Amino acid sequence: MWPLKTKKSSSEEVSAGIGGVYNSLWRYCLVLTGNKANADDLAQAACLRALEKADKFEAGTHFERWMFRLTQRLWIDELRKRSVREGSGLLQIEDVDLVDQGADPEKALMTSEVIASVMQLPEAQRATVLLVYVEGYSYRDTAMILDIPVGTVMSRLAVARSKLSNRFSVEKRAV
Amino acid sequence: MVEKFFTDEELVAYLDGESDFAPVADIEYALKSDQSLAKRLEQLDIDRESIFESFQQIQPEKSLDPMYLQTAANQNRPTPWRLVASVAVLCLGIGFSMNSVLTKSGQPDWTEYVAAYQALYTSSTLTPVNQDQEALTAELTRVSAAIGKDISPEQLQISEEVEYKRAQVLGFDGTALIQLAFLTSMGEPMALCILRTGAEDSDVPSVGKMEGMSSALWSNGGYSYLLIGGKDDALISRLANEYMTARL
Repeated sequence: MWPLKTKKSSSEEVSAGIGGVYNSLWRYCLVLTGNKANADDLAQAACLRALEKADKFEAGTHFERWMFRLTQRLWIDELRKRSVREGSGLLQIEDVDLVDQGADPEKALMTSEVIASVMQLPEAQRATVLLVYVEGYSYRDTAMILDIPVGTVMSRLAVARSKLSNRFSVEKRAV
Repeated sequence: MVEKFFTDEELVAYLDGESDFAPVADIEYALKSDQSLAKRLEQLDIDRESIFESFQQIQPEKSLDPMYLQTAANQNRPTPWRLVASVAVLCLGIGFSMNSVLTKSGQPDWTEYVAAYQALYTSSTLTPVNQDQEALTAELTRVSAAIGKDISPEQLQISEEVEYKRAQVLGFDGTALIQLAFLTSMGEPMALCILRTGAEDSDVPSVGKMEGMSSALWSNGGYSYLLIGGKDDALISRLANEYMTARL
């Protein structure tokens, strides 16, 4: 029998954890960057950064939250500037082909509309919406990931909810 | 009596169940008599479940590529951290000598490198890999020849619980190591890695956990085998015993 590990080091936990959070992280990158190609770049850069900074991760603590926070910082510090520069100051939000139109076209259309509604929110609001309503983070955890006060999380959600509620209402009336 | 005013932020916190940030009791008391408050709550209400379910359907088209991490790490910086060093050693065959990675009891530390590499795989790493039988056979013939074996897909496809996907030649300290990748019926990646070590034959596969994954290690005919992936010890044990008995 070869040795069984009883406690993982930070590096081991980071390397073992990346695969498990990659899809969630990529979704967050999509929401931040607005398109799939940039989401691929940001997500992979974030994984690389995580491995590089693995010794900063405290083993046994919330790995996924650490990854989201690291990704947010990477986006703010480096990649967003580059994307904005290359995109002539505006990030284009992709609104096609995010959802497989295969099995149930009607459901796929509704799903696309919900996603489009969120993606049309300003970046700060849609990131907050994703963290709270998709990833299920508490206000406190979201504030920590985004490095903002809880009050700002609440303000963003209040504005976002107001817009989303209007859009959904309009869509419901149109049906 | 003057009705208490609640901010939108407080109402949203109330709707989200964030009781630390919402005056829940006050809001619920006011709702008994304040119709406009109910209207405001309605205007802030959204279908959270629909948002959650919609975004769950978005998946990356490209899976995380362990080779990308390894390559980028090598290009950009020294590799002070364990995992990328591990992957680099595994993939490029650099590092320390084989003797130095074998413990006195003969424990093959190469398994730890394989485990770290395997930990980066997700189901989406292998789901898009679909080769026909001819391609699988040609690939496996080429790959298994790298370690002096001739393995066929039929020898690997011994159970409906796993689907054989692809073969790769990797390197460990200049020695060829092959990785045979599977996807389990539960969608979990699994790999059988084989390396010529000259180790004595095992009586039975040794089942354990590595990097949080189920694993089984055995040797026969001068080769060492590591089957790793998922969390189903029984499945790993079953498959390992069959491969060992078949003297793959």
